[in-house]
Amino acid sequence: MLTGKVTVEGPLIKDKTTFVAGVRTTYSNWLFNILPKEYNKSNASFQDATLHISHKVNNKNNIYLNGYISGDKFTLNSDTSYQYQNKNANIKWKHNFNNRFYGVLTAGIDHYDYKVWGYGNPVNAYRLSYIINQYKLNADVSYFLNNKHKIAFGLSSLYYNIHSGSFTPVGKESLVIPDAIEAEHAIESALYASDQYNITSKFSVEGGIRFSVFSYLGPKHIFNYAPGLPKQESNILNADFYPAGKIIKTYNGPEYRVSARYFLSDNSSIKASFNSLRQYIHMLSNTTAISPTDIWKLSDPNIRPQLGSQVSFGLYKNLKSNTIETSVEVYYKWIKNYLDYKSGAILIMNHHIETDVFTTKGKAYGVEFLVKKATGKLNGWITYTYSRSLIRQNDPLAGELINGGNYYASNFDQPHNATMIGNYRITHRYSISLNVTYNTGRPITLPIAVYDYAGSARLLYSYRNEYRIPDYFRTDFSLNIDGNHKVKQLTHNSWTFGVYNWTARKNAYSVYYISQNGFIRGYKLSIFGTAIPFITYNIRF
Amino acid sequence: MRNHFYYKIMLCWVSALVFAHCKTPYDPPLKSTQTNFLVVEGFIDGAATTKIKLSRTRILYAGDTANRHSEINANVLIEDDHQNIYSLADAGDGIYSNADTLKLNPAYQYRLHIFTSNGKEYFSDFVSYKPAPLIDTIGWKLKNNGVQIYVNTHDPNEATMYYRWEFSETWEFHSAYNTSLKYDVDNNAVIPRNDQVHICWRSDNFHSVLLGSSAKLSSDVIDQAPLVYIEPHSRKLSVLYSILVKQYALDVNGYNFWVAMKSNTEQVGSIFDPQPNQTNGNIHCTTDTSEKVVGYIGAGNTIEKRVFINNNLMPAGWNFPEDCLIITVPLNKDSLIYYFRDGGFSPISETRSQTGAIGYVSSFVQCVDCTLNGTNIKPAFWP
Repeated sequence: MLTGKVTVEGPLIKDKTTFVAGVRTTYSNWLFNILPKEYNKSNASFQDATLHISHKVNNKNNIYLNGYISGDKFTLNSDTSYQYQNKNANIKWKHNFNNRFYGVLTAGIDHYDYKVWGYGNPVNAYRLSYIINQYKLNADVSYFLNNKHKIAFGLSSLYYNIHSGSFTPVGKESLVIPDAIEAEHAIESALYASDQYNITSKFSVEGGIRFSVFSYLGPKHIFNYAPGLPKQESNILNADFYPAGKIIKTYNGPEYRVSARYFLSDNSSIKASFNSLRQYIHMLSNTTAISPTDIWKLSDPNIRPQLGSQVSFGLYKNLKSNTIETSVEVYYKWIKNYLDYKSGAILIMNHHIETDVFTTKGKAYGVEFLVKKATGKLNGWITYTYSRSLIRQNDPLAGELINGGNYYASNFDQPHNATMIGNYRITHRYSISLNVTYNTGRPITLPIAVYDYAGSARLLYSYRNEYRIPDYFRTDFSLNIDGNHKVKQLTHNSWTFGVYNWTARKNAYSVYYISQNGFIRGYKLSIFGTAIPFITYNIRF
Repeated sequence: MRNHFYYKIMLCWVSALVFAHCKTPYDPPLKSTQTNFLVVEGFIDGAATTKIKLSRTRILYAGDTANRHSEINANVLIEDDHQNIYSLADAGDGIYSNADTLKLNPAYQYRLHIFTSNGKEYFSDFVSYKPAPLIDTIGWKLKNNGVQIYVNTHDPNEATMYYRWEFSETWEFHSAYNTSLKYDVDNNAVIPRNDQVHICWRSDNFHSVLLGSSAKLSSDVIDQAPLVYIEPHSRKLSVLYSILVKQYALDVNGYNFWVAMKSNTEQVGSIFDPQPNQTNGNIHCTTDTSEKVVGYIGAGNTIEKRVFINNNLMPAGWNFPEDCLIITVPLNKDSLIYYFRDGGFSPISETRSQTGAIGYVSSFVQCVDCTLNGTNIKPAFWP
């Protein structure tokens, strides 16, 4: 694998306009081509580019432009290729009304898509694509009323456009029948206001409220289900069509935020907060395939918004004249209407996904420890987080109970997470870095046995998310050598020698099962599953 | 840096000459208790033979080739909520049944009670006796030049709502040619045959889960629930076809169990395959309450209906002419070996001269002998 990275920054117009631009890319396709034949169907590539431009119009007005594009594509010695793309762009205009009052107007576009190609059999060759577009417009105002109050308020509008799947044939021989899921459209608008109030020099409080209105819009067919019965395909009564722009369903409600901070001394403080959440977009992950594939679903007449509330408490203390920062934070979160899939659900190319999901109640809690030394010959930080994310489905009317109606780990439950980043400067020219990451593997539901029922072979699965993929552990080590420090030279050069994944642990990217010649076989896919030495040469002009 | 102008350009190269990913077989460390669960399949039938099949789940790996792991030497009882107990006989190979129809009281509730040979005890939940209403019609219609067979039923008492069907198909078919001869491989000679191999029958049991629900309707009616689709020109309808449909009434829990079972297939791994399936049944182990048991046991009576569909109702040109070459095989030892023993031909009739047989009119064996694809024993129910 070869990675190239170029970053350029500097002024465009003296004292007015500056820019930073960067490009990264990998050249692994070239390497796969020289590898032994068994890998020649594999390839992987990654590119991204960033651009930031800031322009000072005059003393009162600044304009900022940000852009980001990334794409990666991989084929893993199989007949399926995956490609992911991200594109974001936004423009901000900041206007200072006076030295206590400024406003920011932001307009932006976010685009995400993925495509999957299946080439296994020319007759079934297909392309699946999934696209999410978001267009946003925000107006935010900050007002320093006096040295006690900082007030912020604003409004935002977000337009969603999701193409939840289009399935098309590839090649002349393909007999795949094209299919597309009807696009989803919605607009979410919100007003917010907050006040940060410094009551004394030691005690401050902040309160805020946001009120959002979400409207699910046509054009769209909406299935109607028989009242009082589970949302199953057999209970579909009919479908109503709503023309473009027609409001199909509106949800609205407030979100609150309150927090308080108190300085116990010059170098220690405590903080407590409460906030509530409303979310109109839901995510479902298919983690049973080689590459986990996500599905997003907007709230609609059949799927209610996700609601939550969270309390947190933190203790912060700096030691040794503020050179060492320490903190402990705990939180507890309640979640309502969190989506999970029903047994045997089909998530891809499903025209009525509401029949394959149910809502769950959830709770999440955790404690996070941090020790950070920002300066000195030896610097770095260590964090450890213990957290849980649990959900339950105990409503028999929803069709089925999961794990007997008890709490079970959500897909995001990873109890242990620890990171250590350490840098040590040996001399002015030599320094070493050590980076260690550990986290619990994510939960997975495994097929554990096979049996015969109703004349066919069937799979017996474990309880939902009863097992986990193997834990993730990675150590990176590097040595940096700076060039000489003469001031009068055109370029400053430095070398970095290092090893990525020093312990060569084959960390699992995914664990999945496939049917092969009548047998079910388990596989673990590791990406960068070996120690990877690297050399970096930095040139600075 | 020069004055206020500065440009900073960073170039970075990372190189590594190692392969970046790998896929390795993976057998996760399963909890040792999670294998070999009891699987219970069947129905407590008040109008026909009750047949309960007991088997075990099998581990996924290690080249498992057994079709079934039957649970033998178990003791299977049917109990009602009025202290009546009916014992099922061990019919071998994990099947437990009673020869005589059980005299069950439709007002009672029923459950299965199982003792396995390893000393464990299992119960199904008590379920109400749900009689299946009569099948109104089994009909068919032409669809995309093939034949779609469907079932209509209704419950005048509006009490069934959830239905399941099983069926088996039987069809008569004819070989292209009728023969009275056969090749005797031991003596390398053509001799008369005393069985007929021109008219045969074949039966198939269909293994898909077929369900219907009238829950969303204002009356308990099932209209044209599809059972099976017969492809255009299929030999199933080349002469006479028959389908025997068995109708079960389900309670809502049973229906949900079967809906989940329907989506439980052996297909996994592609992004289009179904998500993991917890097929919750109504059977519990009382010896070890944490043990999983697979299966749902309902009670009631089943209704059967058989219909026949004749080829003369099919559109013209349903039967494609078969690709049957006719040749004459001369009567000599080498030709008999060449065509009949090794060549896949069968004799149809003699060609004679004044001196007697000099050869045989012959065709491919599949054009002559229908027992290659079926049986020449006529089923008892065949008209």
